[in-house]
Amino acid sequence: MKTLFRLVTGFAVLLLLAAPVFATGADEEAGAPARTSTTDESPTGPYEPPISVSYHAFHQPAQDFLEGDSFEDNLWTRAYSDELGVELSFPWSAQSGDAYRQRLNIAIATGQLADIFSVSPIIFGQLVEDGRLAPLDDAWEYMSDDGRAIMEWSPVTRIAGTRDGVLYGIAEARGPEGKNLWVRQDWLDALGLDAPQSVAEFIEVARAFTFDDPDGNGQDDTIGFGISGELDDALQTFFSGWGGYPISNFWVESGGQLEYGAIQPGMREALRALRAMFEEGTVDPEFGVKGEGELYDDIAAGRVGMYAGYFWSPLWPLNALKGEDPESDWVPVYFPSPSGEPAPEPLDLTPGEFWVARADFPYPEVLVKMMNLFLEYQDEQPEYFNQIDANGEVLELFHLAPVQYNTWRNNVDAAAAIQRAIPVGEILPEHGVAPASMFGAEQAMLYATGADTTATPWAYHKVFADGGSMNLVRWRMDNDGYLENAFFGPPGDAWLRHGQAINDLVEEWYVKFVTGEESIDSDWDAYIDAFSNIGGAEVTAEVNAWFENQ
Amino acid sequence: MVREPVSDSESKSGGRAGASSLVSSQVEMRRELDRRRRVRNKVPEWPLHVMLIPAVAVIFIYSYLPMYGLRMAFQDFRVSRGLFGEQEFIGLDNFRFLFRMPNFLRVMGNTLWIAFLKIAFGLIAPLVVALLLNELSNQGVKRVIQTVIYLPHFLSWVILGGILVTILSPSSGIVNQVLGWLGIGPIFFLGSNDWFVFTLVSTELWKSTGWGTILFLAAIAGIDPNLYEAATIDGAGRFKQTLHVTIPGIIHVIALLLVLSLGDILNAGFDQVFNLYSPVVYESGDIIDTLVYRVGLLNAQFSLGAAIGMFKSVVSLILISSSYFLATRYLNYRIF
Repeated sequence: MKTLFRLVTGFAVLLLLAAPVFATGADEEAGAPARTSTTDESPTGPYEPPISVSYHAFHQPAQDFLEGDSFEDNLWTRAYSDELGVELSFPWSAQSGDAYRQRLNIAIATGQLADIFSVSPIIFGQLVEDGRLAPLDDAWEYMSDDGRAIMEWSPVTRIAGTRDGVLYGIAEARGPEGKNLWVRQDWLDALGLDAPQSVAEFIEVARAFTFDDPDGNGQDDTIGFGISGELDDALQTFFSGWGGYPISNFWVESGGQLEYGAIQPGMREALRALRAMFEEGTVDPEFGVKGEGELYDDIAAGRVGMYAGYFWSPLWPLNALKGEDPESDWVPVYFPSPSGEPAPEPLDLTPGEFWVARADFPYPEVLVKMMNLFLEYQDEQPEYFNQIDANGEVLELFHLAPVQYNTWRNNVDAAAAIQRAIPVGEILPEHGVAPASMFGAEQAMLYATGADTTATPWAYHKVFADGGSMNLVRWRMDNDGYLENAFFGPPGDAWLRHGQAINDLVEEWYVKFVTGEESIDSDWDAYIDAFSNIGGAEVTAEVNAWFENQ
Repeated sequence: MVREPVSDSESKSGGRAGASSLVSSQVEMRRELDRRRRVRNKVPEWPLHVMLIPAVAVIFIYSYLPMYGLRMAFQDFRVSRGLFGEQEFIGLDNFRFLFRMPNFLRVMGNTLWIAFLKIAFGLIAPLVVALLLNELSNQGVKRVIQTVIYLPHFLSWVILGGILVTILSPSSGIVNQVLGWLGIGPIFFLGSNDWFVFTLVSTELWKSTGWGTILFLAAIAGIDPNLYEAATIDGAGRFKQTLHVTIPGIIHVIALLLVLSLGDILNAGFDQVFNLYSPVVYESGDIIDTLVYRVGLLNAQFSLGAAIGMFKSVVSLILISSSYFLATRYLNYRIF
């Protein structure tokens, strides 16, 4: 026993001594290698001789391929190789966001970073401070006009990717997700109702959908307004109608100070409205234990009459219901607010991911060139994005492009172009449908002409055609219908420490207030106090310190 | 690992039953056998140690080496500085933050309470079931029952979570429908702070009781049949036999399981709680592990995670050591 013990301790000491060897053995310590290939200044000029570039891969769990293709060798890797002289490889890949973040953390901690990769804002900030990322100001010079336009539309991505005046990360431009109210049109028709435009009508429709057997099956099995206990993102627009913003790290300006959105007085009024609906039974009595997944199951099963969805909701989960029940139909409307105006949609445009290059990688501009190629193909090569296979299934091939740079504006432009084409009955070049949007346009056209009214054409039609969800997005753009987060700096230390506790608190009290476990009248101050005590006071001070420097 | 299945206390209880000569002669026989074995063990021991190497290696690699990471608990750890790189040491700040978290007391209380109930019932229920199974004379029936009650052990909580949400639903779940026929109003098992802990403990019992009986049944099978014979001669019925032969015969297994399970006093079962809880029941069901998961996942708080892990390990170490000490002292139980 004693010998064994000595053996084990000896081994342990040896390994501890060896630890620094592992650390220095990493590839990053070798010193920056010199550039041995050259490239011209054009946005997609090739490298001579070709260079090899590694990246950390995020793969879709059920990726579609052309026959014979794989993650290692597919139409996109061949395009990068042929057009840019870039041979791509990935040391590892992940199939979920969590797995990607964990593996990336290990790669960072052990110094095994690939040449280019994407990273979340928190780790991005640490990497910049510790000098592990390459400055991208020179690389940015290679950006095509299309790419520059994207950053101009969304200046917050440049602010977030810049530290001390130097650009380190390029983020895709986030846009509104069209968080609006979706209503069962076929149920409205069956009951002789109109889509709700005021709070009173909204409550009226919820009652009718709950109690008047809108699906005509003779059973009391419908839910007027479907919500979940997870405080669904799309429900934010409902709350903002009253002036409440239960959104992670969302701040509003009030009297020269930033205040947290979820403790605004308007939040209390919105909760009262939901509480009243809960008491009537027009929201699901079990919503508290249901997650968004379970809510979507209910929707796909045809039990829900209204819910807070996104502009893409027809593509999921409404198409699932359409597949089961061809008679089902939905209409998107603005959430009504007590003022009678459509509720403003809260927007948080701060990026969730940055594309970056390792500090000693000699060709950081390859990131920009790859983005340029993606944008160029978007305009010229639709077959790189979606194709239809022999069985009529859609192949989503664009996920195979490792570096994408895009803007939500595409969808708005596509909707306008499709709406020009639909009255004509066919898609002509003068309608200006971008190649990357051609697939959706064709599907919508199939539905519009009545050639195919199954779930997929119906869903694209519902998004892009007149009366569809993109029109609501466009209207908000033209009519100042958005409310941006007043805070758009990097997440501060206090938020990193207390943010999760604050999110938990808001979610927990939201359910308790609506179910009546806590009284909105008498326990509201306790909620505010709990927010302050759990770290809210500290975070508020931190955010206001940032605000004063703006 | 040498167990002495017949301890002093058993020979005493056997003596009370009036078969002292038979029992004590058996004890002597065992001791003689042990003595002979020790003589035989002059044969070199090293092959046995060689056979231990794979197990020691695995434990060393997966349990001892990672202890290097414990220093993260005392650092402001940033991945960007590397696993072995220069990190800033901040002493006990992470622990201070942890203990001062407004939710910490609630979460700690929930964890202890849920884990205590699970340990207590998790020990009693399989013991009772094993004793009852042992009384079945029909081996076929016994095996069928054993197999059926093991089965839930092999289901993961991810799957069970989905199933339980459905069958425990107050409006459409089968459990509440049955309760409805009995005139009991719908119970919100997963959404009420009064019922959530009950739901956790009872589903855990349903899942693990069958598995837990295996060890007890094996231990019961190891009891010398002569003891039952002697007890029968002394006029002990089934119940007395259980009380004076079976239970004393497996007390060392009970002690072992109790000692081991006390180390789990801060593990209230992450998989289960995570798949069943929702914000409504944070008040009664949020445990240390789920809190760490939420806090750590969102903001890459590795140091805080390490601090919590270390805190749990220290508490477990203290509890395991002291319960082992007590078991040695009062039940004459030892591992080595």
